Amino acid sequence: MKHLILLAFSACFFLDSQAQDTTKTSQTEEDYSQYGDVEYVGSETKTYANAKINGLSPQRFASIAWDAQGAHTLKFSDIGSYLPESNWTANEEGRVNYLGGLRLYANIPVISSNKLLWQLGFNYAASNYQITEIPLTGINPASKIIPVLDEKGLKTSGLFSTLYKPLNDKQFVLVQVQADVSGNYSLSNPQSLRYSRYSAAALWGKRPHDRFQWGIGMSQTYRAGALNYIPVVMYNKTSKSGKWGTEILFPARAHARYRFSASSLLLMGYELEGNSYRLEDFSTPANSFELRRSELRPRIEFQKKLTGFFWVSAQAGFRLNYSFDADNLPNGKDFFRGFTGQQPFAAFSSMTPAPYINFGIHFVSP
Amino acid sequence: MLKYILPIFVLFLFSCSSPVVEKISSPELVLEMEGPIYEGANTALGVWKNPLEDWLKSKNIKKEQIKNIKIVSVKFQPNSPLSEKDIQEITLQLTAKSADMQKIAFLNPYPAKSGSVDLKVADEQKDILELFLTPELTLVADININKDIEENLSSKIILEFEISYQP
Amino acid sequence: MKKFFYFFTALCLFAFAPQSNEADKLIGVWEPSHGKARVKIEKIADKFYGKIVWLREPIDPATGLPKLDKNNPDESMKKVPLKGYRILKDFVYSGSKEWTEGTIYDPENGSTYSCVIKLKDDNTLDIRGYVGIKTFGRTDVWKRVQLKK
Repeated sequence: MKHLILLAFSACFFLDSQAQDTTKTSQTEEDYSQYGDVEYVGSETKTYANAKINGLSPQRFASIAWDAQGAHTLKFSDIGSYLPESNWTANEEGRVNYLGGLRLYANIPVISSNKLLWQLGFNYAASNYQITEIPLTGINPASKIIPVLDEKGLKTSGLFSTLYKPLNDKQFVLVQVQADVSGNYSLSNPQSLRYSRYSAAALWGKRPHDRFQWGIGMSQTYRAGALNYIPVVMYNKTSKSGKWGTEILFPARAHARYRFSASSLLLMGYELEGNSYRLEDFSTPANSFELRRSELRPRIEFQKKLTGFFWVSAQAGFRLNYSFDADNLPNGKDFFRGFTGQQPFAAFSSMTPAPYINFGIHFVSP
Repeated sequence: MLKYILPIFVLFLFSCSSPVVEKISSPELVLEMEGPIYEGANTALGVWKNPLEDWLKSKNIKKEQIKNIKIVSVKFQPNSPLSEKDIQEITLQLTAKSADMQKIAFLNPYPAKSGSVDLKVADEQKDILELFLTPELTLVADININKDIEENLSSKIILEFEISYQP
Repeated sequence: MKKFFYFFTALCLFAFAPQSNEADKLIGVWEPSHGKARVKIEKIADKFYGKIVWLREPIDPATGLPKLDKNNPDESMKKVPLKGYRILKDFVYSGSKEWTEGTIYDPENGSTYSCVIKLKDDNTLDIRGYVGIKTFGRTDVWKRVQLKK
């Protein structure tokens, strides 16, 4: 019996050690040159168009950034005059000595596979003002926006969801929806979600090869300040050498890319930023007074790997004002003016251009 | 009072003394490939048991005193029937059961030079010490060969490394 | 005593052999979902490693030469050829048809990601590369291939 037990011991250890020994110190090689001519043991590989292309700037999972604009002049007309744009005069004027604040961003993959990518995200941006008022004569003191901006600033917080669905190895659809709460609210005095503004975009695209993807679609957007419906074009391409490329989601942003190495790159182009900011001080439950803010930012951005999956970015460019006019929305209900609508604004504004900088640190997937 | 201060002072001096760096060579290690070998990327394996055991004994120091190990040169020599003409390139990695694999050297293209050649050693080396402290260091050489060879193959390799330790 | 012997033998077979056989199911040649490479997974020193054994496009269009690891963060390692490159490293079988503690290397950007491999069926792998925690990752499906008979 002793022998039997010994035999059992030997058998099980033999089984275990044999599995190790076959590969521990030697390899039985195969003819790899023939691996171009293979068959699938089970089901075949199904290829889907990858969401990324080679060479793109790293996808950001989380970011913290600080954005600041240089000094500029800001003017507003009297609120509620509803004058034609050509006829407005300044009711107030201020020298903006500082405009900037913290920006936070998170984009978390919920499902991330080769068949489907679904991400949920959050963004927050604060615009804090330091404004010196320039006295004007004959003004309506009840209609002054500048002191409100100076005191409370502007904030935007949003949630977004992105769905990328490859249809096959070449085609894909991309859908993004976003809800933003923008205004001069604070944590202690938050803004009602009733005044959320919704954006959405849907694209159909093709990915002919690993260095090129393009797409066309439509968007409902506030990037031009007020509600608008704009066609969108995606065009991401990387040169054969990997040095040059484009990252374009027109009209929201368009950049040429130059890659110094796998861990540093430069983007040159612009971004159009915008949202509709409710000013509580001029709003009531029956109306929402909203600044239709839109800025075009031609810029260069340098991105560099800091360590591991942390990258830093530095942007420098100009902020060109596209819109800072105001609408008074009955019951907070938005309307579509587009580029050609004749609906008059509740207040007009003008703003001189300003240089701006932005520094950020990002947790990325390169 | 002095009897208390003196040992503390000596201990302080001891702890502040800078580490000693010594250059050491491994014995001639053998990398083996079991035939038949086909054209393409093939793997040769070798094992170095208790790499630092003898050295630690000769120095009479403990492994905790070792601060760092950096590989400074890798000499590779193919044995017949494998010759320099058959090799396109070679990449050498080290691994162990309890430590992660590290790529330490390569040569691409392999030179038309018979005998021993120096591989290009990685500038960035991490966790090499961890590998050397394992009881069994495995050498994994990926060798791209440009012809089929029926026989088993063996090659020689010598690692030269700097070991920095606190005496 | 005989009963004990049978029980003991069965216990041994369960405790050792299946664990090893299950673990070794990872060994073989696999094709990622993009179909542009084939990776041979082998076992060395009780851990699993995967190297590229075939590339659909072995030549770098920018140089006209065989592809190299040009994005490696270590400047001295940029000329290592991609063919034969070990992109899967240090996987340990952790049971439940899962291999953990390993990494996957993406030669396109020179980044090494943490990675978990799950055997979905004998010929399909779910390979999830991730950054920090598994949430920040992407799963790819690899299929087992063999030389045409």
